[in-house]
Parts: sequence; structure tokens; C-alpha cells
Amino acid sequence: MDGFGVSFAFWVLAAITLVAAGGVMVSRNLLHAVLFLILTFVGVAGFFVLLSADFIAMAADAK
Amino acid sequence: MVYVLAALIGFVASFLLFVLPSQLIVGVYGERRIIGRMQSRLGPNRVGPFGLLQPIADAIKLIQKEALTPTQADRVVMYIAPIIFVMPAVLLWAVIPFGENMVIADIPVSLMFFLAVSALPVIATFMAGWSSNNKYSLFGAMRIVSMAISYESPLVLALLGAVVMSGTISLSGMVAWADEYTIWMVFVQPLALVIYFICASAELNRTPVDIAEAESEIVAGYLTEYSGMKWGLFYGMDIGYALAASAFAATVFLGGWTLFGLENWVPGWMIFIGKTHLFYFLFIWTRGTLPRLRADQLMAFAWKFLLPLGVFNLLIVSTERMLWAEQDYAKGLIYVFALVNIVLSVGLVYAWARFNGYRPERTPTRPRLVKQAGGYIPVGERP
Repeated sequence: MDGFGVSFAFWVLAAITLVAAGGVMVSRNLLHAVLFLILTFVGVAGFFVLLSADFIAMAADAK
Repeated sequence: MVYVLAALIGFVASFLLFVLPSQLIVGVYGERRIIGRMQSRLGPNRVGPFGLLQPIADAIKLIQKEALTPTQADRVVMYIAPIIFVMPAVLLWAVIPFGENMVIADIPVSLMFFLAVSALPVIATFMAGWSSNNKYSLFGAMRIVSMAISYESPLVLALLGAVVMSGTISLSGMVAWADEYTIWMVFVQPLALVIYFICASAELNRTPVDIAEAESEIVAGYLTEYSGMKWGLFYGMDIGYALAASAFAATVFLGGWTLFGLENWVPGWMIFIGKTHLFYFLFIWTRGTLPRLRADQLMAFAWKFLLPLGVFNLLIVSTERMLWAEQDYAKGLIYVFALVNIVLSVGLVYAWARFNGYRPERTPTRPRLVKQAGGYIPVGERP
């Protein structure tokens, strides 16, 4: 993992994914938890794109 | 003179092509005018020449309008739902090849990318319907979610037929395949195109199958509590999704920016835009002429009609692919497959419709009474 763009994307994605995953745990509303979970999945799909695993990323995004 | 003409064509074409908003304006205007023509009325014709500026006037009106939010609504979710709805519509265009080397992100799994991203607006519509805190909104949201689940599977099956035949899931690869074998996917896979078209119009929530916002049943579905530009984003991006689905169909089934050698003389993106608008016109046509179906009819149609046909189609295309591989991908064989598949598709649709009990209604030679047609007339109004 080298280059500024890749590491920047990694840290942004990490922040989004972690915050969303935390949101799944703390939200009192069930539907908010579901929406946070979807955001978590999108973040994980982004990680797969960073790993050059495009197909898995699309599968993770399409669920 | 030639240069002036070329510049004019270039200007008009770049207006048509390069800015998505202008594409939307053309889409909205064209849709309203064409539907007006189909329904024996004029459509917008007051603002600007031929009413061309009507979409802009609508947008200005919508921006001025107060965006109301119900007191009991989930404000945050209701606010971000239109934003999430817009995002994929712009994202989808990243993988569509407009011409040779004219694709923003030429990723090797662009077909999967398109399918994955085009599933996102369903989440946005569900957010909109749920957060409005209105029973009709929730009804609309539930309907669109169930419909998306029902229609996604035959859609993917139909596209799998095209993928198996061309052996690639890259959209540029599909265009190259069509160029190499000098045939469009629509001739090799006619059934796949029919299934894709029906499923796409269901996914896009357009009029023959727009049970999610059926005005006569549930006020406006998930859009009931929306007003102003928030509603405008939903409305405008519906057109955007229709255009993206048309562009996708043109790429997969009509050979994208190639036209049997003509692309050496005309810019490829012009051919591509022409094909896109051909499909878009088909969407408008079905919208203007067909009546709306019931929710249960739609579900039954997806699971009992389209899904088995998609499986049959996949079986046929897999067999053909194996035969083709044994013949070392002979170029002439693909035309034989095309002929066989067209005949088989018509036969399959007819046979499966008969099997399911859908009989073709012939044009009645003489008028029938309501009672004969199975209707009921209240006692007081009997002639």
C-alpha cells in the first residue's frame, strides 16, 4: 500500500467504516442500525477495491 | 460551410452528451412531449421555443418551494434519502463506455459494478418511505423493496446469458465482442433483452409497473411527504436512472459505440447517444401506452414467468457456448445461434404463456357487453 492517494483513501474508509460499525451498536432505533450496517458494508467494499479485489468488492456492495 | 456545420453539430452534441443536467433536461422534456403526443395532447409548449425551457422553469419553481418536513418524521434520514438517491445515478455513468477509450473507470468488473450500484437507490427509497412517518409512504417503500427483490433475480439471470455468450463482465469487453463478431447481442440473446427491459422498468419504477407510487392506490407512495427540490431530486433522478439503464442496455445489447464500421466516420459517442435514446424512447413508449399492473400480478409475473424463462435462456446459451468452444469460436456459427435463438425465444415465450394460462386476447369482432366480459353492473344502473 503506497502512494498518498491510497493511504488517504484507506484512512477515510477506515474512519467511515469504524464510525458506522459503532453506530450499529449504539443506535437505539433498529432501522438506523440497519442503515449504519449498510454503510459499514460499503466501507468494507471500499477496502476490497483498495486490495485490487474488484469482484469481491462488487459482491460485497451488492450483498 | 462544412466547418460551421461541424461546429454546430459538435455544440449540439456536447450539449446533449457532456453535462448530465442537460441530458436530464432533454430527458424530461422529451418524455413529457412524447407522452403528450401519445395521449392526444400537447405537453409543455409555452416556456421558450417549443417549450424547451420548461424543465428549467420547473426546477426554479421547485427550488423556490418550501420543503416541508412532518413533525413526527425522522428528520435526518428524511433529509439524506434524496442525496443517497442521487449519488448512484451519477456514479453509474463512470463505467459506461461512450466511445473508444472514452470511459472514466474501465474496471474489469464494470457489469457487476453497474448491478451493485443500481441496487443502492432502493435503500434510498426505503429510507424516504420509512422516515416520512406516513402509512402510505411505508406502503410504497415496502412495495418497492419487494419488487426490487423479485425483479433483481430475473434481471441478473438475463444478463448472465449475455455474459456467458460474450465471456466477459467488462462493458468495454462486450462492445469489443460485438465489434469482433459483427453482431449485436440483441440478436444472439433476444429473450435476455426482453427480460432485461421488463425488469429494468420495474426496478426504475416507471409507469406500467410503478406500484410503489401508484396515485390511485397509495397517494404517491414514498414521495407522499416530500415537496420542493427534495421531491425534484427524486423525480429528476428517475429520468437519470432510466437514461443510465438505456445506456447500459445499448452497451450490452446493441454493441455500444460501434455500428458495423460506421464508427470510423462518425464519432462513436454520437452513435452511442443515439442508441441510448432509442432505448429511452422504448421506456417512454411503454410508459405512455400500458396501464398499471396490480402488485400481486407483478410479483407473479416476475417469479412465474420471467424467472423460469431466464433459467431456460441460460440453459440454451450455456449449451451454445460449449458447442461454440468446440468449433474454436467459428465466426459463422454465431449467426446460426442468432437464428436459432430468435426462433426459440418466440417459441419459449408463447409456450410458457400457454402453460401459465395467459391466452392472447384477440381483437373482438363485435362489441361485448360488460356482463359477457365478466364485469358487474349495479342494479340501479342496468339499462
